[in-house]
Amino acid sequence: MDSPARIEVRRLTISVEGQVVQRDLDFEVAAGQIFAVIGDGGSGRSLLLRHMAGMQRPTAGAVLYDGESLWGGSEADRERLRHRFGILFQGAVLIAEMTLLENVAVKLRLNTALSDREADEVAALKLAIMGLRGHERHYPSQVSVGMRIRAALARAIALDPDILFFDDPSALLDPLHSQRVDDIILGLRDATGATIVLVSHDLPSVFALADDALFLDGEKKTMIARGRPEELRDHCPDPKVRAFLTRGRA
Amino acid sequence: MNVAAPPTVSVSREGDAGVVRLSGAWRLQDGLRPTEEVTRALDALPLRRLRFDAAAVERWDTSLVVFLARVHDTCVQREVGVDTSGLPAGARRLLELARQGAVLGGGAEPEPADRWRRERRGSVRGPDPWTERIGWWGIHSFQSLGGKLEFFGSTVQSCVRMLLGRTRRLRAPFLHYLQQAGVETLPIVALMGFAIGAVLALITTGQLERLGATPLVARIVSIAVLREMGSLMVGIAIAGRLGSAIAAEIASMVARREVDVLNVIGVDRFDYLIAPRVIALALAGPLLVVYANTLGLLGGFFVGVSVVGLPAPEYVERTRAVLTYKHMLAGLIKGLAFGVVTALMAGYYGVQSGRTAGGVGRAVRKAVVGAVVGVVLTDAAITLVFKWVRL
Repeated sequence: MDSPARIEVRRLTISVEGQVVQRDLDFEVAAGQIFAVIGDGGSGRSLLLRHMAGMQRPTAGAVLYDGESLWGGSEADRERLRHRFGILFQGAVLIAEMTLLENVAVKLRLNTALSDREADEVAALKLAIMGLRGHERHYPSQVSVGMRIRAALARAIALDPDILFFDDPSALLDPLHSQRVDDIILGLRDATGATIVLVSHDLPSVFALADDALFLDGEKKTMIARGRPEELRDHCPDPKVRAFLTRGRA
Repeated sequence: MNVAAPPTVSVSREGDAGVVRLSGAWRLQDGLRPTEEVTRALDALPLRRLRFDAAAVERWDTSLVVFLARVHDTCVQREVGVDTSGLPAGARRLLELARQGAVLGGGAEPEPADRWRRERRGSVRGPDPWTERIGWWGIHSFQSLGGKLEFFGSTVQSCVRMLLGRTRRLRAPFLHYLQQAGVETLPIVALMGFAIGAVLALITTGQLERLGATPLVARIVSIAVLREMGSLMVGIAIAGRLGSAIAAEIASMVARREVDVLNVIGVDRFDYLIAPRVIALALAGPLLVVYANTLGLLGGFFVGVSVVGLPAPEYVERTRAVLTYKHMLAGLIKGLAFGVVTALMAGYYGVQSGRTAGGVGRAVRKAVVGAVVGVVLTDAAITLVFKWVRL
């Protein structure tokens, strides 16, 4: 790996209500990389993303960001680190009572010294980057699923984070709109150099975007493969991984 | 430690083109840079083109892109060409994306599979060894207790912040919660209060007639309503009506991941979801107790005068004799405590509901049961304390 590790996951164990979902996860994500987390349903992909994004405390192990642990420091340190993160939740959750502009601007109003007017201007720019110029005053219920996803992407990048976590951004989209979202994600990475962790079950997106990928196995409850998606598809010794990446044709 | 230089802008002329030289660190946290220098230069000089020199820019973020977008809009209005080749590649790319502003569409798609339900059934994981299950059960139990204590502590902190006016700028609809807890609960409290007073009067009359002490009905009904029945009945009404409503609202937000969104946009969920409801119920509880007590006394009066046949002036006089501040204060304190207990139970189970549709139902059930049990136990505890302090 050429770039330094931006995120290091060290012997991470994830559990839910006393049941282990994944154990002994150990890997790193290089700076500026798009890193895909793939695996069978129920393997804990989204849970891993939430742990990497500092939204849940690990049962055991640690996640380090440029060598710094989120849970090892004070609350102030956690706040500072979290300002480096941008998160897109599965289903592109927006606050229904706010317009698209307000959904993006509220993050700027609450976390920067910008005036409300300046925050609105920055939010409008973020929406424009996502191709939503002219839809600023629309409410989430008034726009399509694809537009909601792009508005949620705009909110994720509102504070110019250098680490982005995307949970299945194309889960609700048709192939064409899924490809447009992929283009936006690539454009964002190229323009900002951000490190992107992506959970997805959309194979075309994984192959189009990911520089590196991790396969979680829900039965063995740990990672069973790591590498470029194409390499995993063609050369992974584990037949389950090959079958997954070829839709059962391998 | 190197201190980043502030962003600077200067404009010079090279032939019929203007050159905007940018330098320093452009950071959103320092605010947005105005475009006055560029506008003044465009006013003063008849320029045909504008180009940028960003070689001295140390670092940049969206604040630079906003500046460039403003300059670009100004140039477009004045029909001045813009050459962005001197800008950082990333900033140029973002500016292009923003200018394109293409509108994409999308359609409704099927719901994603319910992974959590399958996980709960254990269909996607093999069984763990029993020793490991016991171990994880122990860890989970310990974490659960810690979670409850953490929830309580965070709620107290948040309530203090709210009372001191130190919560962040996104305001919760506190008045709506107060109306929901107070005004909208009045009819059910009125009905229950009147009925409780009337029933108490009927029951005590039956017993006191044997002793020839029916005039004591007014005294017994009044004390029972003021000290116990009025507040307890309000507690049960709040627990049933508001406990379920609050738990359902919060659990629905959790299921729709709106609580996650609050976290990532920097809003403390306790400030926005829990503390306003706790304070609203703490205020509404005592007020509802006053209302319930009044209706309870009226119910007792109605039965005492019309059914038992006590003279109205005598009934009123005996009631007035027990209307001391001690009895009234006891009911008010209980009303406040029951409101807080209900809000805490409903808030806790609402937040803990999980992200499934079934989670909302479970949260409501747990919240109502927890609130009713909590109200009764709190009532017992407060009654013991009152006995101890002779209130």
